[in-house]
Amino acid sequence: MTVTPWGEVIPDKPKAAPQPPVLEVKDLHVHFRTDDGRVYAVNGVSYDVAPGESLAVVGESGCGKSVTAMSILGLVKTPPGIMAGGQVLYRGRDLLKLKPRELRQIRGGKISMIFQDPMTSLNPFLTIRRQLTEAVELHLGLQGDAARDKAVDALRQVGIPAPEDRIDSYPHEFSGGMRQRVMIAMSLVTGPELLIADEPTTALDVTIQAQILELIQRLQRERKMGLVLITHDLSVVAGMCSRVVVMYAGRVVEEAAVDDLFADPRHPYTLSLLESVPRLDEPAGRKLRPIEGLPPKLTSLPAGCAFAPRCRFVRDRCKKEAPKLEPDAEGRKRACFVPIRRGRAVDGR
Amino acid sequence: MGRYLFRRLLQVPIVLLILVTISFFLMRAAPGGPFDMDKQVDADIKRRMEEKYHLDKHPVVQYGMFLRDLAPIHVFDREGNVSIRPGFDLGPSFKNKSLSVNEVIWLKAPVSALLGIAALLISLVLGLGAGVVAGVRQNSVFDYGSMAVAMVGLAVPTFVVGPLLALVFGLWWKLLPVAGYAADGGFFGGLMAPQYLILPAFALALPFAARIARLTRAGMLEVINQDYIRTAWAKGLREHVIVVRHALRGAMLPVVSFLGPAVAQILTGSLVVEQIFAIPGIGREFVTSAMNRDYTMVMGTVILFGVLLVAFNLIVDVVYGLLDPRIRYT
Repeated sequence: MTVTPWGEVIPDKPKAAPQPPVLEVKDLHVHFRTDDGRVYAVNGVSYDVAPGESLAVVGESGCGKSVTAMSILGLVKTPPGIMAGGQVLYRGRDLLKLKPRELRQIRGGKISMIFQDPMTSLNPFLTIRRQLTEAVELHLGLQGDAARDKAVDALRQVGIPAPEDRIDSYPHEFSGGMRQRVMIAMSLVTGPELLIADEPTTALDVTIQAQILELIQRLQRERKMGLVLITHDLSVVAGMCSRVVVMYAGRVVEEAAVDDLFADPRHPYTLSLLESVPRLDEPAGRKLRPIEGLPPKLTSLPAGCAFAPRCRFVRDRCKKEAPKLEPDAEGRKRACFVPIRRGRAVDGR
Repeated sequence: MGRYLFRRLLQVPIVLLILVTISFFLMRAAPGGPFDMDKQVDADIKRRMEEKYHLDKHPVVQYGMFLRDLAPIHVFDREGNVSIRPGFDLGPSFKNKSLSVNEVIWLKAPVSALLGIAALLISLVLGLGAGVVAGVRQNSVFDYGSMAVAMVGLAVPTFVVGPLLALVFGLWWKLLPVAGYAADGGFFGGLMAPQYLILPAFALALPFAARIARLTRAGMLEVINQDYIRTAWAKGLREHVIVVRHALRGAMLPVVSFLGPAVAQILTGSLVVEQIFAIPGIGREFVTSAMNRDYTMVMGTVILFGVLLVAFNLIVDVVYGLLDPRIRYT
C-alpha cells in the first residue's frame, strides 16, 4: 500500500494467490410474472467480488444489472418476481436460502446498498438522524447519544458540513448531492464488507457526479471494502474500477480487467458500446457509431445469442445456439463464437 | 405556524357568517312555515303566533334580529338599557315550545357526541387495522376478505345493518339491549351504561370503518412501493418497523383529510341510527327541524355542524403539518 503526497491511499496490486471472494453470484436466474407474459430479466448471471475489489457492472437500461443487484440482498419482490435459479454466496453462505432473520443481519450490516435517486431513496417523513441511527442501533447495538455520535461521525466522513446541526434536518432540506452523501453515510455507518452502488450518480448534476464518485472511491479504499458499481456510464468505470462485467439482455457477455476491456474489447456488444461514446484520446472528427436496432424483448428472447440481430459479426451459428461465457485463446472471458481482436474478426470476415 | 393558525382562526367567523346567511334565507325561501299544519288553523291564531315569533316582519329584519341574538355578548336588553348577558342565543324552538334551541342542543348533542366518539374509535381501530394489513399483504386472503367486507359496509345502508344487529345480538343471543339509552341520560349517564351504546356505535361506525380501511389500504400500497421503503428493507429492518416507522405516516395522509369532515359528521349523530336504537341524540333534529320548518332549530343544527366542520378541517391541516415535515405554513 502506498500513500501519495496528497494523502490518497493506493492499494497494492492483487497478490498472486487471490483471496476468496466476499460475494459470488452463480448462474442467477430471475424472472417476473407480468400481464404480458413472463419477463426473463436475469438469465444465468455469474460474477464475483474479492474483498476490497471494485467491480463494475455495465449495460444499458433493462439488461438486468439492477435486478441482479437487488437479488443479492433479496430485495426483489416475489411475486411478481421469481427467483428461478442460481446462488448468491456471501462468504460461502447462499443468501437466497437464508431465513429472513439471518438475511436481515447481512442486509445493511455486511452488505449495504445505495440507490440511483437520492431524492426518493430517503424517507421524507423522518429526520436524517432517525434514518442513520436506526441502522446503527440495529447492526452496531449502540443506543442514544452513542448512536447519534456515530451518525454524526458518518456524516462528517462523507463531507456534510456542520453535521452536528444538520443531523436533525429532514431530507428535503438537503440538495441532491448532499442527499446522496447522506445515503452513502447511511449505508457505510455500519461498516459493511461490500457496497453495492446502483447507478449512484445517474440522478445528479454532472458537477456533483464526480464528487460523489470520488467520495465512494476514497471510502472504499480507506475501508478496503468490496464495491459493486452498477452503471451505464462507461466513463465512470474507467476511473473507479479494476474489473468490469458487461451485461446484455440478462446475461454477462464479457468480463475483463478494466484496461483490457477499454484497449481491446472481445465481445461485439462491448465493442459497439465503446464506439458509441466519444473518447478524449482519439483524433477529432470520428463519427460516433450508435448501435443499430433495439435490445430484444425480455418476454421472448431469441434462441441463439441475444445480441445476434444487432451484431455486425453475426454468423449462422449465433442464431441457433447461445454462446457461453468462456475464456478465449488469450484467457479473456466473453460469450461469443467469433474471435475478435482490435475491433476485427480474426478470420477476416 | 402560529401566524398561520391565527389567520385561519380569523377566517372562522367569516365562514360561519356566510353559512348562517345562506341557510337563513334558503330556509325562509322554502315554501310553508312552522305553523302550517295538516288541519286548518284559525287564521287569527296563526297570525298571532307569527307575530309572537316575529315571522310577520320582513325576512331581512328577522335576519338582523337573529344575528343580534346570536352575537357572543349582549350589551343591551330589548328596551335599550345596558345589561351585559352571554350571547349565542339561538332563540326558542318553534316546535318544542317548552325549550330553547340552546337547551335542545345542550340536552341532545352530548348524547350524539358520546355515540359518535365510540363509533369513531371503532371505525379507526377496524379501518386502520384492516387497511394496513390489507395494504401490506396485497392480494392475500385477508386483503380480499377485508375489502369485500368493506364493500359490504359501504353498500349496505345503516337501516339494514342496524335492525340486523339488534335482531342478532339483542333478540336472538340476548347479549345486549335491543334499543334504548341510559336512564340517567346525557353524556355521563351514557358513559356509565355503555351496553346501550355498543350496537348503535357499530352500526354508525361500519360505513366509516369501510371508508377508512379502503383509504388506508390505498395509501399503504402507494407508500410501500416508494424507493425509500426499499432503502429501509436494504438496511435490514424488520417488516413491522418498516410498516410502522417508515410507511404508516405517508399512508395516513389521505385518511387524515377524510377524517376532518367525517368526524364532524359522526359526532353530530345520525337520524337513522338514533331512530332505530331510540337514542335521544341530536341527529334526528337535523332532519325533523327542516321538515317542520322549525327555523330556529334548523339554524341551531346548521351552526353546530358548521362549527364542528370548520374546527376539524383546521385540526386536519395542523395534523398534516405534524405528519409531513415538507409542508410549510405561511
